[in-house]
Amino acid sequence: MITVHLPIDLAGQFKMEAVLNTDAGDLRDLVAHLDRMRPGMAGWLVEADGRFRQHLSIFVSGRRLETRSPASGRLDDGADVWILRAVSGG
Amino acid sequence: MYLLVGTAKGLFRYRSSDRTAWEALGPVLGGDPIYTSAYDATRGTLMAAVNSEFYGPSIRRSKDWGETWDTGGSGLAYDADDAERVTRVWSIRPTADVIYAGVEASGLFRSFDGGDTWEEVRALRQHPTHEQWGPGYGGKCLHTIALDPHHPDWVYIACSAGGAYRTKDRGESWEPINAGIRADFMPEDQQYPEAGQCVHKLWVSPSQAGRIWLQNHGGVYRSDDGGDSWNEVGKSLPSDFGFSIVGDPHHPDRAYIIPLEGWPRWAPDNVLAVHRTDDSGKNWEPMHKGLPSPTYTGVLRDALTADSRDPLGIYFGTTSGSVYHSADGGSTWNAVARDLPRIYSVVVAEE
Repeated sequence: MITVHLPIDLAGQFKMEAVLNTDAGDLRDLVAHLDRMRPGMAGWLVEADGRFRQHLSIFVSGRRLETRSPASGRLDDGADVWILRAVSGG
Repeated sequence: MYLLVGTAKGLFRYRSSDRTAWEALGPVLGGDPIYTSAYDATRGTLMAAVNSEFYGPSIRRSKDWGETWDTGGSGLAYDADDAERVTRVWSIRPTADVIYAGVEASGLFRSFDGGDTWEEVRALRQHPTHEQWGPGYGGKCLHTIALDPHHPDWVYIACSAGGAYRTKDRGESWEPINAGIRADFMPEDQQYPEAGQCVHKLWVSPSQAGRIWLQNHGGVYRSDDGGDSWNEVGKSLPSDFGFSIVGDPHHPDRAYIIPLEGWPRWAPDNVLAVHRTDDSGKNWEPMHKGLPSPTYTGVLRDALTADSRDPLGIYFGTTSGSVYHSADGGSTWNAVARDLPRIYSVVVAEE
């Protein structure tokens, strides 16, 4: 089981809880799971090339992934995944 | 009647029953750049091009004039192995049976289910001249989609800097229609290419078959043959640069533009004015009664529009966040709003 923390505004737009649990084995499964729960959400997080959007920060068990990392890395049981809006904009 | 103002930080809505008093309904979709919006009268749906810096582009829909929104449909992306990415939505054109959307990097999408799912109109980017398209200062964007009421299967598009194109078979095949339109950013011996012009906006007349008005990156043009040929008609203007152009749907010889200096893209001599022609572009009359002066502001390509009434109601929004309207064809102007964020688009929605 892993725990996912979504940006508050994203969760609000999709009318869902910002923290949820899944048994996804990797980030691809996680995004697919979110898209099944709320169709269309995958496109808000990941571009057509399978990489996270540029202005999202992804942390897996405390480790920050590089910008535009592929949404495919393995998730260990018990992992914490944070999806955050990057510090950007004006 | 509703006035929908797309800004760098959300969509602002105004409502009027008499085109004189405008009630502000407040901003929605706050914080996100709204490049354009559209009212789909067939489906009673408001649509907004939401170009989130965080979550990417989407076309979101509202059934209650913007009080609540869905999260948009799916498919608004190029293939995973495509060299280009869809980064913004610039234009939305609903029709009774299909909705078109223009995106950055320049391309055209369509939806046959009211915006639930989108598919690319692939023939456009497959045209051999696609390799001549480049980005303008605002991006490489397909910003204009126009229908032709005299030819139901025809669609016109314009992109910067790619030029204008026309399909006569609802998107199955396309042809560039840029003959005679100048690309003054090219070397002198290459200023009239088949494609690659920086067409800023075109407007197709519903009342005279074949008539199209076009504001180019340098030059105002008129076509009387559906884009096969163009006549430059802006020589008498204080500047032939501008972004926006709109015609009068009831009077085909009448059109409106807002000239800007080529740089820094504010009104010539800082006199913000809408210029009107009543004689197919031979003469242009500046109209600025009620507008502030001096100004240091511009008007972007989708920020000038008109309603369907006669006399025509005209509306525009500035890069410094003011919205003005005229209910008498441009003779007098009044402010609808001031101090909004940078305005990208002004759209009239008539129920």
